[in-house]
Amino acid sequence: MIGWFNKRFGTSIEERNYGALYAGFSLLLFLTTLWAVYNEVDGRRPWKEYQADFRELKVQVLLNKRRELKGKLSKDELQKTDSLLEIYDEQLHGKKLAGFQSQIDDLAMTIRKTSQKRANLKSEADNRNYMFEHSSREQDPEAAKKYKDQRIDLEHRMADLDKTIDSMDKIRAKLLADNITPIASKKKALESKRDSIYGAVADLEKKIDEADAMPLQIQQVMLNDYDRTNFGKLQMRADRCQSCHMGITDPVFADTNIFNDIGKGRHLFRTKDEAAHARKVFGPHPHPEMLKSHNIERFGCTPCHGGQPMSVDAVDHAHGFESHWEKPLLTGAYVQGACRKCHEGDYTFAMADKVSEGRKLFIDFGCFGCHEGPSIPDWKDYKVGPSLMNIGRKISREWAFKWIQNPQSWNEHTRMPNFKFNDEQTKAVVAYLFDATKSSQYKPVSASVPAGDPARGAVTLKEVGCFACHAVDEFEPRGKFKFVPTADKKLLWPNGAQDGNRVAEGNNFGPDLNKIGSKVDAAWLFDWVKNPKHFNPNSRMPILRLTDGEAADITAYLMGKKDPSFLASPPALGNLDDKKLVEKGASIIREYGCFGCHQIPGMENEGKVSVSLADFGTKTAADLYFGYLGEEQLHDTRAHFDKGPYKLGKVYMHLEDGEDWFVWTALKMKNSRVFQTDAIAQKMPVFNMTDEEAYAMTVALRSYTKAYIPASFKDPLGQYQPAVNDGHFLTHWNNCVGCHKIQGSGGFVLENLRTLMGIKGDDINPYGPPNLNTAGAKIQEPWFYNFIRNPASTPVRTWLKIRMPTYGFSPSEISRLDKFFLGLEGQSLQFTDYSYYPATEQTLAAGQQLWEKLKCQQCHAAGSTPSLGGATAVPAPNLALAGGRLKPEWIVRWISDPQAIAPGTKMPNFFGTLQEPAAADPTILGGDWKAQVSALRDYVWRIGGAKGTGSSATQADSSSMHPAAAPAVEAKNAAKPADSAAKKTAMRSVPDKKLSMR
Amino acid sequence: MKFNRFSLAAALILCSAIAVSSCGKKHRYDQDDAEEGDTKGGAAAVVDTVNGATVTGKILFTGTAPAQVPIKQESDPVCAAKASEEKPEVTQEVVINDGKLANVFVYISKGIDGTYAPPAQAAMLDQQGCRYHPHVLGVVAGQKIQFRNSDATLHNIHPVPKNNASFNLAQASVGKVDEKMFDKPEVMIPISCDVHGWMRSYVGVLNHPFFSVSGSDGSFSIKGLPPGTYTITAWHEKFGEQTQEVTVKAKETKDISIAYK
Repeated sequence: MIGWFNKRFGTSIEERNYGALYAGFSLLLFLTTLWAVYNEVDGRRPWKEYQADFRELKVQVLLNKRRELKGKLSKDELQKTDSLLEIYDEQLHGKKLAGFQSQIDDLAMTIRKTSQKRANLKSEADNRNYMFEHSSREQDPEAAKKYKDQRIDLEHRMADLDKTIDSMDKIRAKLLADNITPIASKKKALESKRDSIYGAVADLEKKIDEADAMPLQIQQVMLNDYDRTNFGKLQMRADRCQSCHMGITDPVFADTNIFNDIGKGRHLFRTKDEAAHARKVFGPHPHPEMLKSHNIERFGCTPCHGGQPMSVDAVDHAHGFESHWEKPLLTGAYVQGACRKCHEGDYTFAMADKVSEGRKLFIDFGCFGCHEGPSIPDWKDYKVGPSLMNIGRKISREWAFKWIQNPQSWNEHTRMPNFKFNDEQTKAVVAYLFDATKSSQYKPVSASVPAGDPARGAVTLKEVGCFACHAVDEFEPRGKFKFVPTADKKLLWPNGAQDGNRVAEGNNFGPDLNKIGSKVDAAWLFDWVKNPKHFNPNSRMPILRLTDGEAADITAYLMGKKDPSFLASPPALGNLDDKKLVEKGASIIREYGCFGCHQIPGMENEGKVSVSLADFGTKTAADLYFGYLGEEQLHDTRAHFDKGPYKLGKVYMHLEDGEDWFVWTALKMKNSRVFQTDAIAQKMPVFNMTDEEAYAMTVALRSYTKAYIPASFKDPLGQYQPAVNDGHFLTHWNNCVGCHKIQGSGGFVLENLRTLMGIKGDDINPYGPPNLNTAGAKIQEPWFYNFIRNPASTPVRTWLKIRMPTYGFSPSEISRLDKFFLGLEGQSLQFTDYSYYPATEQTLAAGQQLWEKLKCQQCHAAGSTPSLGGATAVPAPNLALAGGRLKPEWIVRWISDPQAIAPGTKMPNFFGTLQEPAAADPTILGGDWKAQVSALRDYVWRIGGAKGTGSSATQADSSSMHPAAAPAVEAKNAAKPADSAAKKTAMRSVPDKKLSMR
Repeated sequence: MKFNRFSLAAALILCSAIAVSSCGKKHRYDQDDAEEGDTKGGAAAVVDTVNGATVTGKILFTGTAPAQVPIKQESDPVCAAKASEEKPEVTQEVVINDGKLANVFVYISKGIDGTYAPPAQAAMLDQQGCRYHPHVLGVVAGQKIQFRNSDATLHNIHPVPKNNASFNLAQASVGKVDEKMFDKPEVMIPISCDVHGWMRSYVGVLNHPFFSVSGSDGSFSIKGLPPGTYTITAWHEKFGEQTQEVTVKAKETKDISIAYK
């Protein structure tokens, strides 16, 4: 090399040869150009290949469709159609019809000729008429008479011709109708059928051509008002996801069956993997219904899914699995976390179960007692644990000691965590609690409990619905699961379970009652079941309005449920009155923040003891402390989750040192003290979560970000959103959803009721708590208030054994609840006068007719008149209540389509469905279904009392309409004696309340 | 310079070659119609009435027949009047004639491959005399069912399915017909009328047409079966299910009997 340089520089410039150099560099340039062309055309544009694949697949799918369509009209059938058309054609022009046809033609000719003749006669008659008038003017009566006679004669002949024409016309029409028209119309129908099939085929062919000609180009959704720069300026976002995921909204790909067409020969895919890959890339959105409310053109893709919007040069880059990209694609259920961005206060997402579960657990485990978190009302009013203000009057010190030291040893499913206190710490805490409640004034109402019958108590307990909130006897807690010691020695938690969660809904809400007799004494229990607010005014347990007898029975039954093993070897507590011990207890309580979940005397002014989690989802591994844990242990944790159904989120780089957000958070949930080191103590108690709970919590925590979202993307309920958010919390907090379905979810008690009553499926609906869908649009506000205050004041479903309890809500809480139900329906709380609602006598009469025809009274009582079905009928509310309880607009909505409001209700659809409405009876009100529904409403709404008739008929005696209506009904059924008898019975039993319709 | 020009030329040639190759892509479906004859794998199978096998038999009842459950129809005079003509007034739950059990749904529960398109003709469930006719009905998933009210009183049709969409439809007038369908297989869907508590019917929805309902003489017959081995299940609302294996050859008629106790 050096020799070459020396040689080269040794020769003079003029003699140096540049050819080889030029050749070398030219070659380099050539190769570079080739690479540039290749890269431009192919290398940087993997999406083009996807689009080409998509195009090919789409064409094939459409071709299959065309084949299928043609197959439907098989060759035979096509031929049959064609030959049938030919036959019709032949028939029309054939010999048999030719006779008729020529007859018809002849007739037509004759008619034409006769008409001509008649026209001639007419002109002749006109001529005679002129001559007659002329002669009259000329004073020539003789001639005038002659012309007049001639004219009259001509007119007679004309009339005769008219008759002939008319009869010939009739014959012709009959000939046509009898012989020609049937075949001609058949031919026409067949032709149009054939044309429509050919039309569909032609349509498909057009689509195929279009698909085949689809240009390969970037597909993007522009979001102009979503992002902002750090300076608050609007910044455009362009989501290019659909450049590869082209089938997301394509109707051709909506039917996922095309991805099952696997096999050799004429199939879309050769192997399962090929089909699975195609489905992943080109398949439709897994929740098409989600896209209906979240239009891609408006919401784009990355606001929910994450990823790198503009990147299209590599799959990993586009999905954001790239160093320093902060918002990678959210895999698995983590995408659900995005719901919270806009729907801050809602945590009952039908299509996002895991984030719902995680957000409920955040409340139910009492996380918000120590941590600041999003959308929890003032934590000081809401404590998940029971109040300890009178604790010394409820349980023994020994019981308290054992419980605090290891709550799970008493109840495996408890949400109370284990603080891992040693004996000394536990003793100190007990000492403080009992010292602080020494001066408690609480005393059970009666020291001696009336004798009760435990057997009767067991029945009453279930009948009134205690198992809506508590696990008792065979009604095990919802999602019951068992913790097992961790078999895998590599794992960092001592025991666990994979599935199951302790969301405080249904009978997971209150404590398990199966050992209660070993915890409390009878006097306390009797007082508690009678009125829980006596012991603890803030208790979430409502008053069930038990009689003394019922309460005594239940107490007797529950006191029999014992587990003496818990206190078999009671701890030796010694002197707990030691001042120092009490002080030590106070400082432990302050340090660990027990008051986050419990009301504790002397701790009323403490604050939250731990960090805020409001922005926890945006933390990175660098922000988190992994203690002594090494690569291997972290990988083991991830591997444990990844092999089950709860796969942790994917992150770039996580394979290197195992330190990532998901692993840290999941570990923290499973074993909160796992990152503890000699230098750094950790105080968060151990919750012993199942894998499912830990996973749901990570999903929820991942969603805790303070990301700025423009208002136009948020709050679908607009001004009602805050009230609705608040209500979601309240209805969860008070377990309303344990009994009632609200917005389609909840009503968990129905399952237990089915078991208890031996009733299957939807047949349970009339015997369970009512569905509260549309309750805001349904219930008059004053009635709502009074009912919640005291449900016993105006019972609606008198046949129910399960009781709506008295919650003891304050007026403001009731308002919050009503605003929630109203807000869900887009209404706000306001004064409304429901006492007057006009209707005309005509509609009332029609309403009554429908009331009878539709046998409303078969199930519904009307005032003091019981239902006709009696005991065998499906129980239904007394409709005398309707006028004072229901909103008139809602009754119309309900009658129009009850199944749409409460799926599975025993109330049938009388007027079709909202999609396909139909009149219940074509003879009433001209068969106008809307008028019928509103007439029925007008009638039903007046059963309980006056509501006014129409403005023009206010003064009319409305009772006069009944005699008018009755004959109409009877006349119609006169031919059917049995039927009219039924009508009469029904008529007679319509209540006297008719008279009050004025 | 010479080389540069060459490379430019080469690039141009390359570009145009790529362009040509992409433009010249042949329309793959041009010859599509040529292969029109062969059938696709996913196409619906057709019942072979000529070569298919037949399974017939009787449902026997060997135990003591339970007492008939009487029904009270006084709450609706229309039903009461009709029913008095048609004695006895008992439920249709257990109908036994001569030791033969009626209203048993007999169907192939295992062994049928392929999918069968629902027949174009709708099945009929008639409400007459405040009873359902038939009491047990079999349909192919997706087949239309016409519900007819032949009584001069109100009936409501209220199925309680597990897999299918439920509805609850009232029919107020005589002769009213509503068409509905169940699109997923489900054995059985109970249907009841909430106005008349005794009215009950069962609909069995299958994804093939190989089923039969035993008549009043206990006989049933499943026709057009392709040769093969099948599991036959008999279902009765009170006496439960029974299964039997059966193997049939083409055009064969096999007689089996199923006995309930």
